[in-house]
Amino acid sequence: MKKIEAIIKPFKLDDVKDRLREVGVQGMTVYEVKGFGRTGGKTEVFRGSAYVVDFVPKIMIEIVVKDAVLNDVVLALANAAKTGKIGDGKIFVSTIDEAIRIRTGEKGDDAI
Amino acid sequence: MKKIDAIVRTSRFDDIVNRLRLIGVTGMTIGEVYGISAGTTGDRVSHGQRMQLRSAPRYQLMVVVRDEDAAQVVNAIVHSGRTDAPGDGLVTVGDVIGAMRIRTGETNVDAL
Repeated sequence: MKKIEAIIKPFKLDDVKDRLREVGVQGMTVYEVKGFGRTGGKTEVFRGSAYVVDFVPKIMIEIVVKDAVLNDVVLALANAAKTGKIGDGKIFVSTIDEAIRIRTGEKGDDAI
Repeated sequence: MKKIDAIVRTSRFDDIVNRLRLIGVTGMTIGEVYGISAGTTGDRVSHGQRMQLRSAPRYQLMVVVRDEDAAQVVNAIVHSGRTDAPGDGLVTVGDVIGAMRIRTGETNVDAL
């Protein structure tokens, strides 16, 4: 299983959600976060040393998927979230060792 | 690539962000979270009144960096986040097997 964490523009959430449902993603977790990237946010030098950083509101989506559908989901997500402008966000993929559905106790691929 | 998750005191947050920018971290994501631990719950006396603390506000910092930079970033967070009182928080490091910048489609280390 793989965990996909995507940081996207907030107004793209509906598009991304619809697109992910089309490729068969059944569940996701959404966080309201703030952040900055290489070009987003703003850096100002204040009296030589202090920095003022502007954090931009973003949405972070967390999805756990089977290995077999990973590529499809990442591509769908990237396409749906893309505007071509700075601040579109990033997608990170990592490995998940175990998943358990709390209600039934199902484990592994059955749980997601 | 490594994903660094840090739960830090809200009061140490600005210092940590400044320090990370100084050592060259170009982007990060922040969430507002509440945590429970031995050091942050229990009775607290404030302005002469005894209060029961059930959870404490913390910031969650998420940064994805190259493998070779992980140790330096963790050190910076620990060094700037420390107050030596209970409740300073926790830093965890995990593997990230893939990354993509949504705007350009760049992958892995290029996307950071």
